[in-house]
Amino acid sequence: MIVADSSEVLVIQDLTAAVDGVPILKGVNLAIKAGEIHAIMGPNGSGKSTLSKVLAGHPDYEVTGGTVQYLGQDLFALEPAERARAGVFLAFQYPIEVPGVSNADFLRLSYNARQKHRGLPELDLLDFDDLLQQKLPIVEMNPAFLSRSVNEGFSGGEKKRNEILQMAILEPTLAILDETDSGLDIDALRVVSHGVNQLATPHNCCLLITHYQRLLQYIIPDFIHVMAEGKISLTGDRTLAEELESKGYDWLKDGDG
Amino acid sequence: MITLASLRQLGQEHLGYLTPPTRQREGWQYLRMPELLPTATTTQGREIATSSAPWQSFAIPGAYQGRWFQGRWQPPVGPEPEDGELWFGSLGDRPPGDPLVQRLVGLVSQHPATRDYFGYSNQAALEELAILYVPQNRAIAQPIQILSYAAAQPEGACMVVHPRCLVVLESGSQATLLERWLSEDGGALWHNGVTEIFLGPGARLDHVMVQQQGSSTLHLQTTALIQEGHSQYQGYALALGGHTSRQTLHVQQHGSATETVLSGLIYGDGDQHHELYSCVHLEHPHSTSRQLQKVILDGHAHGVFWGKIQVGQKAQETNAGQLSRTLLRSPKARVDTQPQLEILADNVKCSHGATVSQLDADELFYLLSRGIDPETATRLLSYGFAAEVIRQIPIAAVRQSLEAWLMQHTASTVPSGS
Repeated sequence: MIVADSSEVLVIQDLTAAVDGVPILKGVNLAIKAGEIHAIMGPNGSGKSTLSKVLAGHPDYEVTGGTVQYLGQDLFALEPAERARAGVFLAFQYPIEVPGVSNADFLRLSYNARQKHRGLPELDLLDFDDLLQQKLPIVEMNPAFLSRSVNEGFSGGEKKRNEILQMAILEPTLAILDETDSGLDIDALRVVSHGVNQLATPHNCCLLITHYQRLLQYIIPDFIHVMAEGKISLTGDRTLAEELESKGYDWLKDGDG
Repeated sequence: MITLASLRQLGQEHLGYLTPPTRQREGWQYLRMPELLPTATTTQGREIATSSAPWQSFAIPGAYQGRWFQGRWQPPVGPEPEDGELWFGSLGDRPPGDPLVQRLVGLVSQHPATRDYFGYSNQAALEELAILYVPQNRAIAQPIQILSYAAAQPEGACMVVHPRCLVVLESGSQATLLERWLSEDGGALWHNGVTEIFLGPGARLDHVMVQQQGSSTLHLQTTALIQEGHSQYQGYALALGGHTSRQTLHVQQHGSATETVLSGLIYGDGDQHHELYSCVHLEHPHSTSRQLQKVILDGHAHGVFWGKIQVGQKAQETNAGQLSRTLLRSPKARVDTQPQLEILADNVKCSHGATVSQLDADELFYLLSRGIDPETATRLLSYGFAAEVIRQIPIAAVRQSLEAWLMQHTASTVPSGS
């Protein structure tokens, strides 16, 4: 939702980044205000996922120039865990399996790290379980998945639900969803999208990264950006998605720059 | 008539012909064994009262507990099982002429794994023999714990203890045995233990072994097992403490359709050296052997896993799998892992694998991206690596104490990025 006079959560200016010395981001500019949902679309290899990893602080991605302000602060001055505690959340395209660590323990550790950072009380096992029981319906998740190892043996859809459950528990200010729709059947897509929609408030914002228009039928973005060759080449409203769906990405190359 | 004295004498005679293995001997290349053994030994420990040993911290609720204290056997304490025919104590409890006593002493040193320098050193010092005897078709629900504790003198000759246990489960019986080896950090100690186990037809033993010796202990332990047909053995061997440790697990199969499951965890830090030598020797058809060994090494620690599976010509339709996985938490840590399959039968399914890795950078980043600090994340991943073994342990109190131990001990290192 576009909220009048809302504050800027994320301001990206001329951001450049490289992986293994190869430049991927070549000057990204983007501003997201509280309450807004932005979608970044674009062909494979355009740098969409790189942007999400850079924002979350993955060590394989090297920032080579530009700035990112998060709530008025230099985002890159924060370590990955500090960014998370400050309210940046990345829903992974391929959620990682962590054998031997129970999902419930993992969720509680994450939650308590965030609570501690906010100066709020940490929850013990019992109280946290109460919180979990409240949040599970958001993603229609079977409680049996809580006692299993994090993502281990989960199906693609279960992994993505688990990502949104984490988002529900951590209540991020900036949620970045990296190709959350990939590998989902229509039911899982509905559940996951519904979860994301329930979590949207005037105080947080969401950056959806997707290759397909399909997700945007369930989560309605306020802005759509098209990324090509490491830059945002076009910005529009939700109707842009339909145009892209019918025309593909190739026509952009001609109109670019 | 066989007596402890005659066994001791036999041990001394055999020992006279043997010398400690040198590094030229197969399977001994990673230990400077003759030099590691103390030149002067004493059986006298530091003068402490039996009650001042930390028994309480290692007590298992509801368990029947026998103790080796300063190398000497103490009568069991705790709730006695209702089954009066169970015998948990030491050989001296019964008259030497008792037929069961004679049968049991006849089993001592029958297993080839006990007939080496260390086995005979143990036998040559045999003063007492701890006995766990479960009669036919009895299922003992409560765990049986044998705790070993020694406190050496801070200076002077190295203390030596030679605890020896004999475990016999008659046909169709079941038990859960926990052996835990502990010692003080201070004075030098050489633990040279032997546990011999005989599982009758269809018997089942769950056997948890936890080595948490003090930092100046040389721990050598042989577990020698004979399995009759259709018996099941589940062994869990955890090497956590001591300065240098070597555990030998040797399984001999005396009947068909046996099941042997070995799970192990080695955790080494500082300049610890841990070895696990296992041998599963199958000579009868339709058996299963599964083995999972996890190794976590930090600091300058050195771990050795040597796992042999011998499948004899008659052991058709054997199903044997072995996997060893090592996590190196420090660039100075080292592991030597050597799976060995010797297969003579032609219709068998055998697999083995070994992996050595560092903490996974993607797993680490995933935890960090959820706000978990690097130290906790590292600890959690190391713990998760070991959990596959820990979680199978059938005694909840042991599981919990090991989880706590691991959480505490894996806390120290933060990896230097990906």
